[in-house]
Amino acid sequence: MIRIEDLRLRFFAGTPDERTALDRVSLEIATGEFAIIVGTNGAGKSTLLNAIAGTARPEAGRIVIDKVDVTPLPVHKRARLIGRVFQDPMAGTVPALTIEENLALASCRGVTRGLRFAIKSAARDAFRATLAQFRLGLEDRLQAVVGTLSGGQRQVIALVMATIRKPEVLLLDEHTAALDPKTAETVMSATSKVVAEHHLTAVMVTHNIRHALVYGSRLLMMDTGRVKLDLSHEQKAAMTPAELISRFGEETDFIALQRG
Amino acid sequence: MDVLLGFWNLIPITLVQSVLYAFVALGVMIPFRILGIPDITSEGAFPLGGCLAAVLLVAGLHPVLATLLAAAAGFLAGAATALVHLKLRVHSLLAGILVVTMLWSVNLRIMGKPNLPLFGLNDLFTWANPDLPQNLTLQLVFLGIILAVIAGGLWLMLHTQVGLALRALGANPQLVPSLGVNFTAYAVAGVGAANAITAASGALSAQLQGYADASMGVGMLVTGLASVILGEAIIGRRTITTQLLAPIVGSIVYFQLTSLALSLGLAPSDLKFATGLFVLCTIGWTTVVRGRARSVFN
Repeated sequence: MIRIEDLRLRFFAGTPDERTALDRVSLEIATGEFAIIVGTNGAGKSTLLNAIAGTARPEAGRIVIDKVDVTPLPVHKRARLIGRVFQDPMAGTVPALTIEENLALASCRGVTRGLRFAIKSAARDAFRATLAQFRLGLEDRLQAVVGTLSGGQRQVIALVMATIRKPEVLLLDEHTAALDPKTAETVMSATSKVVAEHHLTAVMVTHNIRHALVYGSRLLMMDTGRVKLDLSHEQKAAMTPAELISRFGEETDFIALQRG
Repeated sequence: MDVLLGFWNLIPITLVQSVLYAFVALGVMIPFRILGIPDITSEGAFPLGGCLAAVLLVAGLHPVLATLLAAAAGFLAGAATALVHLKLRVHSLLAGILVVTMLWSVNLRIMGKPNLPLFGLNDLFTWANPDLPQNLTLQLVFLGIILAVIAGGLWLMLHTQVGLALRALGANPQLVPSLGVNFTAYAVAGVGAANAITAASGALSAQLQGYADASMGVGMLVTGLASVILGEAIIGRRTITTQLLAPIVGSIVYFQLTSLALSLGLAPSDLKFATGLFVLCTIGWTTVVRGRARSVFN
């Protein structure tokens, strides 16, 4: 479960360039919920994810993940609760390490690292089994250096790395945006599979309207630092892509939200 | 013919020298290549190790303990550079220059004078074998064993959970915190350990030469860097094994080449210029000719 209370964050505060990225956002995402966030550029979607992950520091408000108030914690200390996949396929993996080294590195998230060998044969078998589910042939290439893989393959590795130890919350920051349409579908179906299999609580930012409607159990739309539309699974199912696009930038949604 | 004979006769002594400086090359390689934090602290950590070990030996400390304490001091110097870089957000090279400049005074304070002779004292080499100071083969074996232990230890360490995190730190610094790695702690430990190796080399060098000198570190970084890129040009750096062997191979080749150059008539005072020119040519070759920008330093 993740609870966000009255979160506020401004860029260039106190200067003429001041811009409000998060305007007193309050939000609760239940355990097992897969929330999708859409919104115009600059609406605050990525800032919200950054604030949850700890790479952006809010000025006010609280973020509670699984009963832990993570607001004061640096990134590495809240990492045990959070798995994250970035937009850039280069960002979520270590290019110079092999597939198995990347997975071994990620499987230490949230545990104290020691002077034990990072890769044991039992772990190798587990890595192989995990990768085999995606049918990309990655399970036969454990010793391949990740830098030599395609963007889509790297993004699947990044997804596995983010979830190899079950996170309390999985953050997906436009993680299919840099991929070609076919690869984006592969990665998105892999994501959906992983989230369902481990009953993950997930938050995904996307600009892909179809993904926003097909995947996830809840749909949030952000605008100028606020959540302006909050659709349940059923409401989302009744929404068409054209209808969703028409809601971008529509002022009346704030009122609709207040009425519940 | 005389020239080549001179070179040939110098091979044993230059081999000892190259093994000694292979430590420095290792200490230079680790921050540059594995941690992705270019660091020049070795220029000050090397004399720090030499000066501290010399003073401790004169004070009557056991040579093993003196050498280990010298390494520990090198660790602190490297850790200081990393902390200045990360906490005060100073570029790592500038942080290194600051620490090296300050270490100059520290080293003079430690010794109380610019140089300190160690003749007749029981040092690490006489402790290992009383015949060692006169026997180049024994020196080579002894230094080779220490080098093998350190390089082997590094190889093992880089395959542990901690080692994997250290390697990831250099390759993707943005990612590692999100995998639960405390960037500052790992970077400080990594740069510290690298400079501990360099300081140990300074301590060994002082004991082998029989004196410590505050200026014994001048040019150390460029020598180390030249060895690293020379070794990488010969055996590559695709795996951890070759990455660790490259500074050692490079150091051996570098000192044979300089010895040859000196035999052929290069003035010793021109050596630093020649080394710098060599480093520049290597960088120029990889970036301009092969079109791989920043390949030498990243």
